[in-house]
Amino acid sequence: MTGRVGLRTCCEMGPTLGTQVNLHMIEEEKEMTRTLLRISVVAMTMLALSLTATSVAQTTDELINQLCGRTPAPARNAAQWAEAYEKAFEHLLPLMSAQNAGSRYAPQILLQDMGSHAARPGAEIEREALAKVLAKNVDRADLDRTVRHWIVLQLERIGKGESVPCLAKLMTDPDEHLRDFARRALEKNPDASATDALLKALVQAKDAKWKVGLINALGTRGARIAVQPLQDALGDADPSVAAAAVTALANIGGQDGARAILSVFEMPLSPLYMKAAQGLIDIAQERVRRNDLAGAMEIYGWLYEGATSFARNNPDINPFNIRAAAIVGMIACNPLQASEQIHTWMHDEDPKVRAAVVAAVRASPSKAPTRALTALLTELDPQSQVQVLGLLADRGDLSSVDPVKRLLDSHQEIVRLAAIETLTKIGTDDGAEALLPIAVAGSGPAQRAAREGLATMAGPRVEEAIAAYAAAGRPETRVVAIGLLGKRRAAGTAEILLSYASDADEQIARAAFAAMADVADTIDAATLADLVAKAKAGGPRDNGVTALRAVLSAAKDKDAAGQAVIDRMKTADAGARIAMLTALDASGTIAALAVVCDAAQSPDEALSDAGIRTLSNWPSFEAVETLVALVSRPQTPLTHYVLATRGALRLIGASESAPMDQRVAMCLATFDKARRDDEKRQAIATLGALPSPKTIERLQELLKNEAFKTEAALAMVDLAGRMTDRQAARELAQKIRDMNISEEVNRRAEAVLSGRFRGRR
Amino acid sequence: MMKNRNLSRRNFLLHGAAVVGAAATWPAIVPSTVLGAAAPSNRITLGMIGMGLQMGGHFRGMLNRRDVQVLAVCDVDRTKRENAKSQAERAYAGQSGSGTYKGCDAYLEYEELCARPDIDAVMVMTPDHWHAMCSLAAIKAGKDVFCQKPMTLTIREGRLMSDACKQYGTVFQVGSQQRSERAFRKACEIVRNGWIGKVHTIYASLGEFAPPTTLPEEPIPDGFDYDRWLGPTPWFPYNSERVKADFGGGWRRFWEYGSRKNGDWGAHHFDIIQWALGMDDSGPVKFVPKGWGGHRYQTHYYADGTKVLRDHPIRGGHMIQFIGTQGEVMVSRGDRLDTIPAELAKAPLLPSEIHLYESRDHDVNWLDCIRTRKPPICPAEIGHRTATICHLSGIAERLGRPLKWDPIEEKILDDPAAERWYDRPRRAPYVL
Repeated sequence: MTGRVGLRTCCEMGPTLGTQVNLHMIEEEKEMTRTLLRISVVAMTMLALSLTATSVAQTTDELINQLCGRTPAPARNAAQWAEAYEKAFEHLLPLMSAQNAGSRYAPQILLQDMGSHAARPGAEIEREALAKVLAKNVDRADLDRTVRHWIVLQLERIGKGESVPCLAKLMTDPDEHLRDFARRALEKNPDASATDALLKALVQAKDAKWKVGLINALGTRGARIAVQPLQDALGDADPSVAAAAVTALANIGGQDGARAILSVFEMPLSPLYMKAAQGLIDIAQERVRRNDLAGAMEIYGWLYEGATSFARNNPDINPFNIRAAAIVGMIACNPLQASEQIHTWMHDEDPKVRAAVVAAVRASPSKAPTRALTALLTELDPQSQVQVLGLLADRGDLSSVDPVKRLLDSHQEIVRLAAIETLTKIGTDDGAEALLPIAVAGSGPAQRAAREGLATMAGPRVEEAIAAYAAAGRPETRVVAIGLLGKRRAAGTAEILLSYASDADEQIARAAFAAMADVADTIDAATLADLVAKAKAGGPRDNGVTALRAVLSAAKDKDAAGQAVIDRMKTADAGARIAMLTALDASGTIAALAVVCDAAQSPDEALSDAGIRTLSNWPSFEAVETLVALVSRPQTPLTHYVLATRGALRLIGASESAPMDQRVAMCLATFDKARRDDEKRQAIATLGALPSPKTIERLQELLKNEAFKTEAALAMVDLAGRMTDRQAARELAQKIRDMNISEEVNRRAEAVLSGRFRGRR
Repeated sequence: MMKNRNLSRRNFLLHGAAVVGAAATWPAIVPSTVLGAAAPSNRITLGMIGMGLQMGGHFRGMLNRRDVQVLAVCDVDRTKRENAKSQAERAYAGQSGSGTYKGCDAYLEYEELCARPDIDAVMVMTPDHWHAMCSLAAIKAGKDVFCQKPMTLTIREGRLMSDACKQYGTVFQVGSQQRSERAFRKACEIVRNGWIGKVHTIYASLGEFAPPTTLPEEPIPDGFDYDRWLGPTPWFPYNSERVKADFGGGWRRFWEYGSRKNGDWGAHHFDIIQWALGMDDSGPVKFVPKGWGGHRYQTHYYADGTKVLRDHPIRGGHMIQFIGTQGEVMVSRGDRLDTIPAELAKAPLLPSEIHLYESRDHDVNWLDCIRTRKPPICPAEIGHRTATICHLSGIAERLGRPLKWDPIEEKILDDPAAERWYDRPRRAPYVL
C-alpha cells in the first residue's frame, strides 16, 4: 500500500490530520485562498504519504524495524503500542522456538533490541507496553523453556511495577532455571513491590540454594525491611545460607546491618565468624565513604582488638587478614591516632600484619604515619625495611633522607639497594652526595644501582651537586661525575664537557670525551675538532676521535658537521689531521668521502694508511669505486688490499638501494682484480646476494673451475633462496644438488628445496 | 620446615582463618632441596585458578621458578585440574632429582583453595565472569592476586575489587601485560611528555568475533562441572562451543561471559590509551556505538574532546595510533614503535621528564611487589578503570545508543535503563 493513497483520500485526511483551512474568505481573497489551498493540499499529500508509508507498517518486518528504532515510528497511544508489540511478539515467537537452534538467535536479538529501544529515556509508554506484553505472554504453554527464559531476561532489563506480579508467580514455576531468571529480574526491578515479592518468597523458601538466591537479591537491593529475616537466616543450618545472609546484611549496611552481623559473635564459634568479620569490614568501608569516620573507627577498632585477642588465646589460629584490614581502616580513619600504634604494629610477629601497615601508610594522604614509619626504619627487620624504603621512595618525603642514608650501610644487600633506589627517587643534593661515593668506589649491584640512580635522579640541586663533583675534587670522583653529566643531558652539558676535554689531567679529559657520546647531538663539531687537534697524541687524542665519531654520527646537519672537521683538518698538524680523518666515515658525506679518497691515494704513507682504513669502513656505496681501484692496483700493500677488498664487498652486499647492475659490475671487477683466491671466494659469496643474469652467467662459469666451484655452488643456492619465483628457485637448487659438489652445498640446496632456506643474511 | 597438614576439626571449622605454625616464617611444604636456593622464608606459595588456555604459559613459568611454589590448582574440569596437578608434581619431582613429589592439590571449588592459610597468593585465569568472585575471595582471605584481563564482567565488580584491595592491602596485578613491554611504555612516555603536542585522535585495532548464536543442547561431558562453569551467569543449555577456550571465539563470543572484543583486545589497547593520556584514575565521558549518528566507528570521547576510534585503519598496520598536533605515534606488540617525526622513537628522556613505571616482566613484577609491597604496574584501580571502558562500550553497543558517563561519580547519566547494566544479577547460589 505504500505510496498509493489517492489524492481524494489525502484531501479527506487533510482536515483529520489537524490542518485548519479557513474556507470562509471574502471574494477578493478567494484566488489567494485557492492558491493556499492548493499548496496545503500538496503539502498535506506529501505529509500524509510519508506518514502513511511508515505508520501503517506494511509488513511485520517493517514494524519490527520501527520497534527496534531502526526506522522512524509514528506516534501511538498506549493501546496502539501494545497492539504493535503484540503483533511483533507473535511474529517472533515461532522463530525464537525454531527447530534449528542457530536460527533462533536473530529473532531473540530483535526482541532484545525492541526492549532496549523501548526502555530508552523518554519512552516510558513504550516500555510499559512492551513489558506488559511480555509479562502477559511468558506463561503460555506453547513456549519452549529457553524462550521463556529469554522473555524473563528482557523483563530483567526493562520491567518495572507492571512486571512484578508475573515475576513473583514465576518464582514458583516448576522450571528451576525459570524461577531463578524471575528472581534475578525482581532483583533488578526498581519497584518497591519487587522487594515484597522476594521477601515473601524467602519466608516460604525451603531449599538452601534458593534461599541464598533470595537473600542475595534482597541484599543487592539494599532492602532494609529485610534485616530481620536476614538476621534470622544467620542461624540457618546450612552455612551457605548464613554466609549469604552476612553478605546481604553487609550490603544493606547501616546500624541495623551492623547490629545484625554482630549477633553472629554471640553464636558458637564457626566459620561464620570470619564471614561476619569481613562483612563488618565492608560496612566500615561504607561508613568511610559516607565520611562517618568515627563510626568506621568504632568497627575497625573493635575488629582489631577482637581478632588480636582471639589470635592470642588461640595460638594455632591467626585471623591476620582481619587484623590487617582493621589496621588499614584505622590508619585511613584517624592517621594521627593510628600513628601512635605503628610502633606496636611494626613489631608484630606476623610479617603480613607488618606488610599491611606499610600498605595502609602508603594509601594515607597524611604524613604522620609515614613519619612514624620513618622513625622506626633502622630498627625494623630487613623485609620490613625494604617495604618501608619502597614506600618512602614513592612518597618522595624529603625528611626521610637521613634515616634512609643510614641504611646504605646495611648488612643486607637488598636493603642497601632499596635505600639507593629510595634516595634516587626522593632526589635531593645530599642524597646525590650520599650515592656518589658508592658510584665511585662501590662494587657490584650497589655501584651499578648508584650510577643508574644518579643518572636519572631528578630534584632540586641534584644537577648542581653532580656538577660540583665534576668540577673539582679527586680525579676518580670527577670521572664518575663527568660521566653522569653526560647521561643526564642537562642543558649546557655540551659546553661543560668541551671545557673538561682540555683538562690537563688525562683521566678527566678522557672521561669528558667519553661522556660526549651521550650528548653527541648537542656538541659543536668545530669546537670538538679544535680540541682533537690540540690534544696530545696517543690516548687523549684517540679519546677525542671517539667523541668526534659519535658527534658526526649524531649530527642533524651532517654536511655542516663534516665540513667543520674538514676545515679544521686543513690547519692541523699531520698527526691531528690523520686522527680527524679516521672519524670522517661517521659523517658519511660526499665532501668527507672526497677527502678520504684523496688521502687514500696520498703518497704520504701514514695518511694513505688512515685514508684506506677509513674508506674501508665507509657507510655508503659511493666509496666502492675507489676501493675497487685500490684492489686493482698491484702496488697497493697487502694489508690495504685486504681492507679495501673487504670494505668493497661489504658495501656491495649491503647497499640494497644502489643499482643492481652497478653492484654486480663492482663485484665482478673485484673478483677479476683480486690477487688471491681467498678474496676471490669472498667476491663469489657476495655474488650470491646479487640476483642478475650476469651473476648467473659468471657463477655458471665458475662452477667449472675446481678452485671455486664450491663457493660458486653455494652462491647459486643463496640466489635460489632469494628468488620469489619458487618454481625457478627449486629448479636451480635441484640442479646444484644434482651436481653433488659437497655435503654443505647439498645441505643448503635441500634446505631451499624444502622451503627452509630463504637466502643467507 | 614441614607443615602439619592434618588440620584438626577445630581448625577445619575455622575454614577461612589463617593457621600458622610459626608466624615469623613463611610456611614451606617441601624441603628446600626440592626448590633449590630460594630459602623458604623468601618463597611465595601459589594457588592457580582456571587451568585452561590462558594459564599455560604462566603456570609453566611459575613451576620453573625457585622462589615460588605452586601448592594447589583449581578447575571445574576434572581432566584439566588432574593434568595440572600431575604437571606440577612432575616438574618438582624433576627439580628435586628424587623422582617423586606429591605436594600439589587439585580443587573443584576455588573457595577451598582460597581458604588455605599456607597459600600466599593466587593467579586467576578463568573466563571473565569468574574473575571477581575468585579474586574477592582471595583478597578477603589476605592473599595477593594476579587476575587476567579484563578484570571484571561488570562495573560494580571492579569498584568492589579495587576497594577491597585498598582495604586488605592486597598486591593485585591485572594481566594487562602490554604495560610491561618497552615499546608501549615508550609510546606512552612520548605522548605524556607532549612530544607530539596535544593528542586529539587515537585509533585502536580490536578486530571482531563471529556473532554469538543459540546452540543446540549437548550432553555434558563426564568430569566437567557445567553448573560451576556457568557460575553466576544465566543458565543456557550446555554446548561445547559455549565453553570452549579459543582465542578466536569460544566463550569470548558470548555477551554472558565478557564484552566480546571490547574486553578481549580492548582491555589491552584501551588500557595503554588510558596510560598514555594520564587517565588511569578516570576515564572517558561518552560512548557511541558504531553506526549511530554517522559514527562509522565505535567511539569513546574524553572530556577534553580526545576521541578513540575502534578499528579505524591504522598507519603501518600497527595496533594503536596516537595523532597529536605535532606528530604521531604508532605502536604494536613485538617491540614495534614508529613515530612522526621518526627520531622521537629513540630519543632518550631527560631526568626532569615523566618517566613511567618500568616493568620488564609482568609476572615477575607482581612477584617482586609481593615482597616489597609496592604497587605493581597494573593494580586493581587501573584494571577497573580500563574494564569500565570495555563494559560501557559493550553496553552502548547492545543498547544501540550513546551513553554518557561520569568518571568521578562512576555513574551512567540520564539513562536509567542503561544504569541497570552497572551490575548483573547472579544466578543462585553464587554470591559476590
